[in-house]
Amino acid sequence: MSAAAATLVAAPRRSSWFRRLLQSPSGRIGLVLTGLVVLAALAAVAHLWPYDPVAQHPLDALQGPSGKYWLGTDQFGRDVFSRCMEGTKSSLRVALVAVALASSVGTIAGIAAGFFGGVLDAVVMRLADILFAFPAILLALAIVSALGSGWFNTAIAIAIVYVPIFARVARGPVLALRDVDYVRAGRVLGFSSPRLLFRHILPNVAAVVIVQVTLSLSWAILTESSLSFLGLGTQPPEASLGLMVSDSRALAASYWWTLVAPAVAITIAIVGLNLLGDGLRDALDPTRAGD
Amino acid sequence: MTEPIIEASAHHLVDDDVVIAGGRLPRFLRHWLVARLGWSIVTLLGVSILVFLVLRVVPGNQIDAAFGTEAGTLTPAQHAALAHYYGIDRSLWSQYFSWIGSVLTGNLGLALNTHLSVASMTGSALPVTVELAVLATIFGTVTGVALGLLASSRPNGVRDTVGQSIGLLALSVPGFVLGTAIVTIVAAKFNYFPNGGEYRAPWQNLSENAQQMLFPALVLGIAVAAPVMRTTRSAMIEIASRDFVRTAYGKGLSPARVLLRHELGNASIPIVTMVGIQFGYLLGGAVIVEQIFALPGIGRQVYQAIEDREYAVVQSTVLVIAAAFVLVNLLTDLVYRRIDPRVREQ
Amino acid sequence: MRRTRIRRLVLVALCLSLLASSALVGSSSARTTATGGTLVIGRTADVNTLDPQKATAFQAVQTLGLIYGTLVQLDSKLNVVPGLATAWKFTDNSQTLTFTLRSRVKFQTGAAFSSADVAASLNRILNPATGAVSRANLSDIQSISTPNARTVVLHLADPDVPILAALADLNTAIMSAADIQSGSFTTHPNGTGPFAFSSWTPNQSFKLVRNKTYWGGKVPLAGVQFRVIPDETSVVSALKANQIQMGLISDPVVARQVKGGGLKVLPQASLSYHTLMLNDRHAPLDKLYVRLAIQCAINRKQVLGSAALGEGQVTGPITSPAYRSDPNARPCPTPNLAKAKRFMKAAGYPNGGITLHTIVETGEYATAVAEAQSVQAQLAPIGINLDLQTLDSGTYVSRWLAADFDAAIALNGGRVDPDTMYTRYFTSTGNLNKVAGYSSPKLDTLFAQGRATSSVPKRKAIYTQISKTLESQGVWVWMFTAFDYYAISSKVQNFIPMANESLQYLRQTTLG
Repeated sequence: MSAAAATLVAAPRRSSWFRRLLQSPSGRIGLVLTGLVVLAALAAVAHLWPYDPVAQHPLDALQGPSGKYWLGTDQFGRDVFSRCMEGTKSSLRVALVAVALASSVGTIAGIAAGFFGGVLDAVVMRLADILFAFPAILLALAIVSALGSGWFNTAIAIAIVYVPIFARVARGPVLALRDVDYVRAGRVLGFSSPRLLFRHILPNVAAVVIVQVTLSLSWAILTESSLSFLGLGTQPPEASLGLMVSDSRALAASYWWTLVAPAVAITIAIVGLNLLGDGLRDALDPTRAGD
Repeated sequence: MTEPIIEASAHHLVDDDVVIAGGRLPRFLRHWLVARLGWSIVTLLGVSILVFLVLRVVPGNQIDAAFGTEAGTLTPAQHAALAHYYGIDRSLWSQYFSWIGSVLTGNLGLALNTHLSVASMTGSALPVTVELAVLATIFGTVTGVALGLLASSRPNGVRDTVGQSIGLLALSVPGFVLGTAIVTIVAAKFNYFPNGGEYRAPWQNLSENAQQMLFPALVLGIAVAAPVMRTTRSAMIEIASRDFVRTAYGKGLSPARVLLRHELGNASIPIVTMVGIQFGYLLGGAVIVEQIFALPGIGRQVYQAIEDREYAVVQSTVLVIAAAFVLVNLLTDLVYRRIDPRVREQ
Repeated sequence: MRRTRIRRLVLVALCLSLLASSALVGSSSARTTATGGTLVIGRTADVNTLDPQKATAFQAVQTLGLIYGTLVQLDSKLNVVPGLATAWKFTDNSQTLTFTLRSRVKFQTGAAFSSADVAASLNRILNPATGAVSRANLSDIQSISTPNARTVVLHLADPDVPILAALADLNTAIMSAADIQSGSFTTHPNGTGPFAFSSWTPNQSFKLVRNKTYWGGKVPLAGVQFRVIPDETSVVSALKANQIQMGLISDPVVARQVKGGGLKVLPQASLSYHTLMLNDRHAPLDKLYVRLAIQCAINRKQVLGSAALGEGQVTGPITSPAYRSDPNARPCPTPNLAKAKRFMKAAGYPNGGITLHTIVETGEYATAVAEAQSVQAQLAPIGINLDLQTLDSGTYVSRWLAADFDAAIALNGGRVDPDTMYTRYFTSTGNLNKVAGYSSPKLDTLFAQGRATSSVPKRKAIYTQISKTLESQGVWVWMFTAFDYYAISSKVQNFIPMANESLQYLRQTTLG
């Protein structure tokens, strides 16, 4: 557990990790791409699009990219560019909410299980195992059926599928740290559990969780796509990148832009988020400061 | 559905039971195994309850699913007779216990519309999925580890960028887009689509089976490769900075020896964890890939049964999948014990 | 130094993985294709039951329709023609129906067919314990008598002319009395049709062989094999790779991908109709003017264009060729927004503000969600907001049956006889009337007249009136009928697709 112990040095100051983030190429590219995606989403929130993304122009249906419609139109004559902006917003919203829910609940459960051990640990880990071994589609179908469809319930469904992963990921390092001399010493000195948790354990779990968060965001965007395909995700006429991709699957053989545009948008979002995650992890982890 | 992806790094996901395996290894191993098996049974019991309840939460029932909108033309007497036939007129308790009771005596139940036994359906579907999962895992692991090594050989360098980019692209392409693209393009250009033929098991016709497995294993393998690559990269980078690696170089050991024995050896712990998890998810069936490539696997069996609201089929199949999942986890942990130096050194 | 080693290692690993994949390809030998006279048909779903009287999913109906025979059957123009019965007549004010049965007919297992089999089959449907859906169409049967082995007499409670067309339906299939007794048909179907059951591997293939004793003469094909290929795009690929010779496709977008390579597509207009069902008992749809406003705001041609690339026909309520409704005999044959707004005003909603909870099915047919979005966009200008709820088919069906919706995007099955098609919906005692959400004494009377009339021109007048009533009351929004696509290789000859999706003409199909 030497590595874990080595990470137990004082957390670096804020300014230094941000500088380190900017120093690494992956951090820089990640920041730019993610910025682009967030910008597109914000523009959609502010309705700064060339056309209303749900407005249909039947006479202009299935036109290729042009000066009028930058990325062409879909079968209803809706502007694909505007829909990509709107879709980025929806996909990001579902992914962020799902991962925020999953990571907070999962991480807390995992840390608690690892730190307190015993019955709590056994119960949490068995629940995680049960969810792990359960087909995700069935779980999502049941949740959306019970709660009704809509983006928030989709997010909840995705979150529930992902909670056990965060629980496991967070529990590992806590177990390793629990018995490290430093923490033992703290216990002997009479430090309270919350203080030990927040001061010494949480910062060490953070790096692991951040990486997991960025990967989960990519996965959540793709999962939302599968769920939308089954009618369990974003509700038409709203757009999400995943829904656009699954909708245009058959159409793409004749009208390529209907598929390529949202697929490229997904790629930009996922690559950006992951690079940013990598950069953040490297920047936050003191042992890698020298790399 | 896309498989969830986990990135594990060197010290995550280590099961404490494994790590604290003191000096009395054989006896402890026995205890550990018994405890693990005990927990596995608890897990499976939990899964059985969850799947049973979840199915009852999903709207619809077997009668409506079997007859579609025509179910509306049934008279109350007909409806009652059918409800009795499907067993949905009984209390939930009675439904659960009669199902779990028959499962415990080795009877997985019957699909009530087709009169097929779940055991025989699963018997033919499970090998398809297992083969697909094994092939995809092998392809994904080999490619993922190779790319991970490439990327980690020079963090933030050109190779890293190339390796990372391939990994991230693989991560961001939905399996159904890649699958459809292959199916459409290969068939249009080469008139080749082996999956259009009748499915052949490897023992029926090895070459035909290999052709039918090629593309789906490739599509799933790429999905496996991405997280494996990332796990390998981060684990290798982390390990390279450790004292014992520096010491090994200092002792004048050859770089290859250090790389293989010390670095990859240590990095293999998170990699094995990662591969185990991915394999476990693939066992749950890759519904969409199985649909596109017309493979009669377990994922399609469950999905179809959900659509048909064939409760016994869904419940028993999910239980079988969960059992396989639990088994894979157990095996992963055993592999762990073999390769974890902290255990070996004892 | 160290990095060079790593590069080599990586190269070796990559080569190994490539070798492994190429070894898989290298070991390939010549593929077998369907030879001789077996026609392989690709379709997206499997048979879900082997019980012909309970089959409703169209894959099961198509397949079992090749194995089983019915008393009467339909020709390619949907006229009722002799089947297992060679002649029939209505007597006693259309309350007695007598069939003369075909002689020297055998079941596929070898047993001879007689009136006892007909009686046993129909009685099985009438027995509530069976749970057969076609019971509703035969409920007028009071008793069945079999004076001799070649004669069957149905005694009806009320005049019921449409019962004849109902007896052409697979759900009234004639099974062997012995099979009904033993229950063997649940695993081994046995009928009098042109093809006999051979084997079934669920989720993979369903194999049939020529029935050597078929009463209709020699069947050219040695066999038919149905193969399950869940994705329509993959069905097209299988066709291009010559793994199948016929593909059943419903998505017009996919059907367009079939071209070249000696392939062709036979589009067949379907009896099924795409409609926006309105629950006329839910406020504010109980107001005639609101319904008429909806009628006038909807541009059916545009829905057809957006959802199905224009492949189909705008339709009125009745889709059967003999009784087809005139799509121009409706309140607004072409959309008229100004008129729609006037109707909204007359209904008391000058500014709109109406929300309709609309259920939409996903997964069953390709165009549902697109239709919903198109209709939604068209109703927005008159202030009607369709709140779309896309549901998986199991959930949709249950909500539909419970009439738990304001509006429903639906693809409803058509029938040859307009009585069988709509009595169950629009008569006050119809068993789907709750779902239909509308009935009136006028419609009840008209339907009763139709049932008691046997002259076709007179019936035609009655059903034209029914159709007109349904449209002028704005009961539902009938939109269009689409095509079923039969993509075939040029080797397939003499196959005739049918509007009711039956594959019965495989009995005369050859593989050139």
